[in-house]
Amino acid sequence: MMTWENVVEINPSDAKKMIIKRGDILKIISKYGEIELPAYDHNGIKEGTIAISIGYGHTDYGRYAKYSGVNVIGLLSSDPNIYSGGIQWSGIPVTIVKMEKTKRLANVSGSDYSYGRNIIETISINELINQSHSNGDHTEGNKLSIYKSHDHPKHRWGMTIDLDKCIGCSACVTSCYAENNVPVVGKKQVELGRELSWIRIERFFEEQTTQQLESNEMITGFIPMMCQQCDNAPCEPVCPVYAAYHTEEGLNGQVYNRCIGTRYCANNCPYKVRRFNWFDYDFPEPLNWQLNPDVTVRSKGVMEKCTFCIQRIVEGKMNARIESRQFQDGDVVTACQQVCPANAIIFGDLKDPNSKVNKVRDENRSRQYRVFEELNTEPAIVYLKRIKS
Amino acid sequence: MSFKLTYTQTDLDLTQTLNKPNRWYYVCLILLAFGVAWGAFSWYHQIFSGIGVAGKNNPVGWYLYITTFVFWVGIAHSGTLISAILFLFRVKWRASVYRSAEAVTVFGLATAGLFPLLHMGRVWVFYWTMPYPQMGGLFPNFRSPLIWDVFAISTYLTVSSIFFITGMVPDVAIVRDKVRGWRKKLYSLLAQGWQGTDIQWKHYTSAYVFLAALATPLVISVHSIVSWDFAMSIIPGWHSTIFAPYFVAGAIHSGLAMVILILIPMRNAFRLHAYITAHHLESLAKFLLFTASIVGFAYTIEVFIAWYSGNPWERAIFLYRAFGDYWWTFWALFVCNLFIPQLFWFKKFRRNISFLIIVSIAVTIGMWFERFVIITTSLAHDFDPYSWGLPSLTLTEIGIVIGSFSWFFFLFMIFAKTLPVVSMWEVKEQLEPPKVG
Repeated sequence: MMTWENVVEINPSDAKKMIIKRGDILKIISKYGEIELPAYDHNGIKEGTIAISIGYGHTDYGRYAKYSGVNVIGLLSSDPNIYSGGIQWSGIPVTIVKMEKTKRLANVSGSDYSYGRNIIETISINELINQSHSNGDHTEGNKLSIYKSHDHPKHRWGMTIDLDKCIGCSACVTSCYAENNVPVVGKKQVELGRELSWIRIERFFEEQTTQQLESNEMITGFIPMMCQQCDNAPCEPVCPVYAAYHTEEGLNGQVYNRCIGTRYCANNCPYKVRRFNWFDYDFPEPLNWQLNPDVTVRSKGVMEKCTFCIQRIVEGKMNARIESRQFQDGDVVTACQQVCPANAIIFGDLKDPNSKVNKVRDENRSRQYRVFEELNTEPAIVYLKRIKS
Repeated sequence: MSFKLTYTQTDLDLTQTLNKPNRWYYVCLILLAFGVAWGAFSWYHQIFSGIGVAGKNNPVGWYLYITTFVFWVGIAHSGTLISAILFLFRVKWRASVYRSAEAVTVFGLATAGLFPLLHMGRVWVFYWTMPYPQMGGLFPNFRSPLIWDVFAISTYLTVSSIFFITGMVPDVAIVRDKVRGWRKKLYSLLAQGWQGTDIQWKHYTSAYVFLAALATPLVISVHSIVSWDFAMSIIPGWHSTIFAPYFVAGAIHSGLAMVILILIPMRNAFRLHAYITAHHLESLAKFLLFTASIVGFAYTIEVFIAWYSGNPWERAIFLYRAFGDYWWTFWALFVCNLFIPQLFWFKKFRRNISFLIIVSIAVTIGMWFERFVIITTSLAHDFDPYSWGLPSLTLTEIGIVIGSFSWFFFLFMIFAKTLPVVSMWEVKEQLEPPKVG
């Protein structure tokens, strides 16, 4: 998934035929002009066609828009579309010439395929109807352990994410950046693989044989991925200084001030959701005015990750105390949950049997699963399987 | 070629190594000092800019620094093996080579010990890994293998340094008796008042056995603990019970190669052919063949278990190692560490100095790549395919790695001209005593 620049999207089978690898610079020549852009093999494009996004290649519009990507308008015809009178955006015949250059792309996805790793699970309607509610629970985990599990005397925060509701819009990603003062690292650092997003939408293509078509077809799946706040967190025991530790409320705490930056926690995280501050990132004027005063701005050399918006949890508990009442469900809404247009993300206290996060789980017993359940990390995030039609 | 050595001749030959060095010595020293300065500057740059100037990224949090760290800890292993374990087994050929091997250990650790600091995001708070009384009651996490590392490395450095200094006492006393001026003061301090009396020898030899026995388990434990930095994690390709013996064998393998690489130029420079004979080098070559076989066995078992376990993660990572982005490094391991040393089955090759050098260089490179393969490939391709990614090479990271090599050889060069490189007293032990009267 690309950031910061536009690319020539080309079907993988076409790319294979033309021996084009991702990042190879291509010259695209049309009747009206020519541009040079890196190639990006992408299943979302029909064979025999290419697509290039517009909106890049500005020569003005400020420090971020300027000289980012390539302007594609030069390839288009100056004649208007005969029906609408607008610009003719598609149907331009082009020639592709492979240049002997490659470029490291500002691509945030490592692989487009999940290699059958069951990160995104689906369930068909028939299965869903036939499955009895009692045997569908996949979140009990393996209780056989020589170690005592963590006590959570008051709260244990958890989340339920309904993949059938998720539309992959990335609003959660944006809101997380804004809420948690997550620095935008810039094109160069994204190319090196150092984006700092605490939550991301992972997209995978999977080949699937459909009965109706009797042919192979690529289906797309996506899943919001962030810190799973594991109860058996692999990140915690490996930290030499207890910067990564388990809070009483079931969170995988991260003490920025204590972190010495060995990065072992990130290495050991199977979900790879921990993010490292490779540099001191600045928030140049006027971005400094949008910083959330409730959240620390991290310095170079420390690890960070999703906190379940701990500042909002603290605020919610505080408000309940000020109003002399019990903490109740809905007092805390995380930033990603707040902006989700489809209500796919539900956050709450797992200790409270009447909390919405628990109720949604109970109602969808046969759909719930946790990512990499077999690793026995006991995540606090339960996903609900997408329903296949 | 045989030499008739006497006690006097030995003293004479083995102290002439401390004579005023020639021009080439200084040229090498200055070149190495440049390398160290480059590394130091790179580190300075990294501390002030952030660790991002090295080529790591989000999936690959450990890269060349940890690779080189494990490499140097490995190099440090043959010294104690040769000096302590072979001493306890009364292996005679160790006498002429163990002093240099011990120096390799001490300086290897002095180099390795820098890397945990070099790779830290916030090195200025490195002391938080030490257990000390802190006002807020904070303490290091003893469940973390990195803390075990801190103790393993510092214990090994302490014990091997003491062993190194103690083993030198009678030799340093000989030097002390020959020099004048400030050198006299320095060597007197190191000789700790050695007179060579019977009672001193009695205490000395028992202390030496005791220290050897103390150092022996460390050869096994230190690299086992370093291997647990990986084995204790859940990352496929790291989480493996074979790691401790596999790493220890690998460490000795690379250490022996380094000892051979250092001994051959040294004996030429100091004309020590009477002391470090073809027999000594051949014995080291045989040992190298032995460790090559263990390491090769471990490689094969790892691949076999990846298939046999039926664990899909494990299979995927080994397929990636063999055919993925770094495929050539994986095959380089088999070639450099297993196949090339097989030449040592033939006496012709074991006795050939050029072959010894070629094989040792191959093993040194191969063992560096072994750690590279284990660390980088496992992190680059772990559980979540969306997060896969490759690190990049940067000038800063290369500068620090080259700086570490320069630092090691710089220390060794200083040692070669300040302390006796071959143990005089143990060589003399194997000679016929001079007839009195």
